[in-house]
Amino acid sequence: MTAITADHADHAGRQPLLQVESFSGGYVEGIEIIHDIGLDVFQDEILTIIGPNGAGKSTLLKAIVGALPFERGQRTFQGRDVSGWSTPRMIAAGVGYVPQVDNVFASMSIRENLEMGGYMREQGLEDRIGEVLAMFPDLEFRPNERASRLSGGQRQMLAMARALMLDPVLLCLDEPTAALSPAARGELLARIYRIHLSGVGVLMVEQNATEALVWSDRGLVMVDGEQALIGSGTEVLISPEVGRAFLGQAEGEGFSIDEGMPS
Amino acid sequence: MGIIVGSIIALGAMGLTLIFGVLGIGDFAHGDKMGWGMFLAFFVVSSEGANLGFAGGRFGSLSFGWGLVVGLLVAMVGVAALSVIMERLVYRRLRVAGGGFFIFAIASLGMSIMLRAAIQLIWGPSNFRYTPGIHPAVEILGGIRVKPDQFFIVGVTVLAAILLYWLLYRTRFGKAMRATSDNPGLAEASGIDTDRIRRGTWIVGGMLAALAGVMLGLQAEVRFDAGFRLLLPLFAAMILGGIGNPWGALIGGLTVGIAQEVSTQWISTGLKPGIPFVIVIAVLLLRPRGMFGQSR
Repeated sequence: MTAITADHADHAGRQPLLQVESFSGGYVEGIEIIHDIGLDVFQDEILTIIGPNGAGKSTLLKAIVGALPFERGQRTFQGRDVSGWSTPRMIAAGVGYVPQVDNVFASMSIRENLEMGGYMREQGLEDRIGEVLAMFPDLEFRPNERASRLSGGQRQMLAMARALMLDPVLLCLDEPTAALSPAARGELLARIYRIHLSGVGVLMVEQNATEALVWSDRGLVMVDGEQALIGSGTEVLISPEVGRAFLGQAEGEGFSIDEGMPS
Repeated sequence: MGIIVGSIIALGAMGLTLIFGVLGIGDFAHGDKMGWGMFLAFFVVSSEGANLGFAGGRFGSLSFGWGLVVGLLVAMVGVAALSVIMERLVYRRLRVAGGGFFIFAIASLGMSIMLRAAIQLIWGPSNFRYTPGIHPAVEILGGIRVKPDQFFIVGVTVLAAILLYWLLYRTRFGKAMRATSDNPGLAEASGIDTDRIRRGTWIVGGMLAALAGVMLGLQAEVRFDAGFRLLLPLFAAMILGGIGNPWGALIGGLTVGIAQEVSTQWISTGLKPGIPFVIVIAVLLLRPRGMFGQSR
């Protein structure tokens, strides 16, 4: 499939935060789930990966943060070759990662979750907890509440807050709005946008494509583990490629790109 | 009487529940680690130990002196080291090879047999005592007679519970232990060195086992299978208190201990060891998460 690459005009001459080239990987050696991906993320953008169920979106995100057992190809972060780096090393280097499920320590309090997020901090833990809590008013007023007692939306906020504890320059989010009510989805995306404005590049995987693309600078469409298209949010939204990719899916898979589309 | 035995069970169950909670291992060797703690302390206070200069008199009306304190420290360090060696040689390899719950449980059963056999090889099958002679009980309120040593045992248990709580809820390392127990994947993704946490858990668990073993030796006899015989009550206490919950283990231990002693009002003393079985079955039927188990 063709890749649209006319989206680089505004990034011309600048170094991307993260770059992956001819990148493949999977959970078991020899069985590749993602094939030959090439993408870059800049600090001043939100890049959203969309695609039908089972397209390998989450797998790609895991591979990027070093959480996949097998990978091939190259990863570069802030100009440094980070191919094969494990998640803890990527985290220490400035990547925040929020998995899709089990992304908080359920039996621990909000405060303790943040302390764990900042486990690698040598200093300024208390100050950073204060700063991060200030970004999430929902969490700020009850730092001793157990994470398991939070609502779905609040949990996602806590998961992001935890990932922000080490001042990452790139935040990787795996389906942050999955299983949230429409109202909570909108609030969360707005929150992500605000975090982004504070100087954090965002790479996220989203199932609710239309809604997420509205907030995104660029979108990447994945189909069957391959990169079908990369372009600006609008380009992706109106692209016939996207329609074809999703129409090609079995019915009832719960993905509709037409929903709420600008005509 | 039930409170004393209960305290010892609680000490053992605290270590057991910690290992279960953080590492996901039902450690059948825990009773025999208690046995090793008991004998390492015995080694220090017994004649060979005395030659090393640790005999050391008595504290007030307690039956022991500095000798046992040194013995306790040696036991705690020794059993902690033993636990780390077992983790290196056995559990880590099994974990890397992808071993599941049953693999660990069976491995620990093997370890249990080895540890017990080693005690028997070195010290033989006889019974020993830390200090010979009769230790009179003193009367407290209501005509109840208690040995001074027994106050000490209860005191040590309460202190251990407080220290364990402090470790788990107030220190960075302890919180990381809870985080690893809660969600190992996320702990790793937060930059917590989970290998280090696992090692630390074995060390703390081993120290608690040694402590429980020495208290058991102080209360009863020093015997090669004394720790092993307490294994079932330990598991009963852990399950009753909710797996992975140190407070639960404390309350569970006391409950099991008291239930065992009180039961002799109605049933023959010979049936007493069956009480933990009954408790385990009842808890699993009625409240599988234990008294203080929390749903997630």
